[in-house]
Amino acid sequence: MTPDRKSSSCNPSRFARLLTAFSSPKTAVILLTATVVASAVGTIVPQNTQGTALMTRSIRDEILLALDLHDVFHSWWFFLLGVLVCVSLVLCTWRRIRSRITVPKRAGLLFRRGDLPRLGSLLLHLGAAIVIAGFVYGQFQGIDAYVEIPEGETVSLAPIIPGHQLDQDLSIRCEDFSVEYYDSGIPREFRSELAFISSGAVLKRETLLVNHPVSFQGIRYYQAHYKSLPRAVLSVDDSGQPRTFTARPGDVYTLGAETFFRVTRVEENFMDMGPAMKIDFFSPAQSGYVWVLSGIEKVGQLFPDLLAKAPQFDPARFEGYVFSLERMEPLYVTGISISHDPGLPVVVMGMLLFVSGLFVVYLLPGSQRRALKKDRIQAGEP
Amino acid sequence: MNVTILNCVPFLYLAAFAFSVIRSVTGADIPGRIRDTLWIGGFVAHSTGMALRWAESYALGIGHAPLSNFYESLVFFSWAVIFLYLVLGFSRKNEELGTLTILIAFVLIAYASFSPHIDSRIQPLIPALKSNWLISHVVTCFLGYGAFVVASALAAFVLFGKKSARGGEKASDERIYQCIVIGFLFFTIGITTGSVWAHYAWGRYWGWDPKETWALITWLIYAAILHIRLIRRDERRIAVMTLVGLASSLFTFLGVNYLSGLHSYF
Repeated sequence: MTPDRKSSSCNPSRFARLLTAFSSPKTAVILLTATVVASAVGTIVPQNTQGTALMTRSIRDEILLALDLHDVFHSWWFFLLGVLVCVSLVLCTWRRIRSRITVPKRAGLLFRRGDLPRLGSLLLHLGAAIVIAGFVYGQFQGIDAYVEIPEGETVSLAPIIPGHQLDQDLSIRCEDFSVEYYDSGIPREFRSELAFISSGAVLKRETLLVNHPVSFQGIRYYQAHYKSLPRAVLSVDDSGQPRTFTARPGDVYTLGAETFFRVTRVEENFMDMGPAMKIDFFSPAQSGYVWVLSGIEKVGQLFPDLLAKAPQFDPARFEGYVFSLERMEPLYVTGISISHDPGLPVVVMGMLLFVSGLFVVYLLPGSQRRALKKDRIQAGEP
Repeated sequence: MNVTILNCVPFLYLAAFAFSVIRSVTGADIPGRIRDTLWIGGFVAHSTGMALRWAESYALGIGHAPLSNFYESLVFFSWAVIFLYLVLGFSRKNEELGTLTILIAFVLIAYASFSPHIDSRIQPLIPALKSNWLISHVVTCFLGYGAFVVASALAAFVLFGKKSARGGEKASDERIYQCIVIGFLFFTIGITTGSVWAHYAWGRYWGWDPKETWALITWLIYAAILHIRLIRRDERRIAVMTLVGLASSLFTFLGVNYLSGLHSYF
C-alpha cells in the first residue's frame, strides 16, 4: 500500500485504506490462523457437555463457560470470526471488480482473455464467502432433529420439529426394522420400513437405509442409529389353555378378575444364568414377585434344593399360575435423523464457484505464475 | 495373495532406499540403476497388490475398492506418495528428495504390513461405508496428503539440507509451491466429496466432527501458506509452515482417532 498524502487526512480515504487493508493477504493470513486456532480448541475441549454442576465450578470452568468453549462452533465469537472472514472475502472480491471497472482502457469489458486467472481468483473468493453465508443461514434456519421410534410404533412429528411449516398431523410409523449381518457378524445393512401418516391415512411408504435418505414434503430422513431393547415372550398356564404375552418392563397384563401381573425387569443374561424376567403378581388371594428364568431346570439340577431355599425362583410360586419364559425377542428401536437445510443450495453454488475458480487459477497453463505476479503487484510488493 | 505381494513391497522400498544412500555417498552409477529398478519394481508390485486386493474382494463376494480400513488407507497413502513423486517429475532432478520419499513410503507401508495391531484381512463394508462416494473421497484426500508429504520432504531439505542438495533456493521454493497447490486442489475436492457423502449418509454436509474439523484446519493452514507467499516469498518461512501443515495432515489422518468421532473406522 502506498500512502496517499493528499487524501490521508480525510475520512473516505482512510475508510478506503481500511477496506484495502482488510482485504489484503496479510489480513487473510491472520483470519485463517485465528480460525485454525479456534477450530483446534473446539476439537480438544470436550464439546456439548453441559459444564459441571453449579456448586463445583472452578475458575477454569467459569472461563470455559464464559467463552462458550463447550460449544465453540456455535459460540458468538466463532460466528463473529466467520463474519469477519466473510467480510474480508467480499471486500477482496469487490476490490478486484472495482479495480477492473475504474481502469478506463478496459471500460466495457470486465475481463479479457489474459485476465482469466484474475477472474478465477475473484470466483474463488466470492465462492468461499457464499459458502460461509449459506452455511450460517442453514444453521439458523435449518432443522436438525433426531427421533427414536420403536418397531411398530408411531411418532408425531410436529413436537419434534416445532415452528416448521409442516402438516401438523404428520406422523411416522416404523413398520419394521431389521439388521442383516455378514457371516463374520459385521452388520451389512440397517433397514427401516417407514410409513408417513396424516389424518389416519398412509401417505407414503419408504425403505430407509444408511446412505440412502428418504425425502418427504421437503424434509429428509436418515437412518442414523438403532438399538435393541430386551423383550420377553412369556406364557402363563392357569390350568387351562396357556396364554402367551410379549412384554417389556412396565407392561401390565390382566389374567382374570382382579388378577394381573406386571413385568418389572427383563434381563438378557441374569447372573450368568441366561434370560430372565421379574414379575410382580397381584390377586385378591396372593401377591408378590417371582424371577422367571428360562434355564430354571438346568439351575435346578445344579442346586436341587434351590426352589425350597429360594421360592422367589419358583415359576409356580403363585397357586394356580405357572409362568414360563419362552424366549427373548428384542424390540428394535430405529434412530432417525431429520434434517432440512434451506442454506444447502447456496452452499452448493458457492462451492461450485470456489472449485471452478481454483481450477482456473491453478490449472490453466502458466496461469498461476501470472496470477501470482499480478497479486503481488496488487498487494504492493515488488 | 494380495497381502503376500504387498508384504514384499516394503523390502523392495527398503532396498531401494539403501542403494539410494550408497549412490549418494559414492556417486557411482550402478547403485543408482539398481535403486531405480528396485523402486519402480516396488511401485509396480504395490499397484498390482492393490489391484489384486480389489479383485479378490469381489471373489469373496464382498467386493469393494481397497480403501475401506486403516490397513488399506496406509497402503494407499504410501502408494500416493510414490505416485505423486513420479508424476510431479522430480525423480531425475533431485536424488536426495527421492531418497527421502522412498523412506517415507517405506515407513507407511511397513507400518501397515508389520504392525501387529493392523488387520490386513479384506473385510466387508459396514453400512456407513457402502457408498459410491467412498472411492472419490478417499482417493482425493490421500492424493492430497501425498502431495503434502512430498512438499514437506522438499521443505525439510530447505531447512536442514546442504545448499548443494537443494538445487538452488528458488527452484525448491517453486517446487514446494507446486506440490502444495496440487495437494490443495486434491484436498479441496476430498473435503467437498466428503461433505457430499456426509450429506447423504448423516443428513448434514458439515457437522464439526473432529475429523472434519481437522481436515478444515489442515486446509486452512495450506490456504494460509498460499497467502503468505503473496505477502513475501520467504523460503524458510514457507518451509516451516509446510511442515506445520504436514503435522496437521498427519493429525487429521491418525491423531483424530484419539478424539471420538464418526470417522472411527479409519
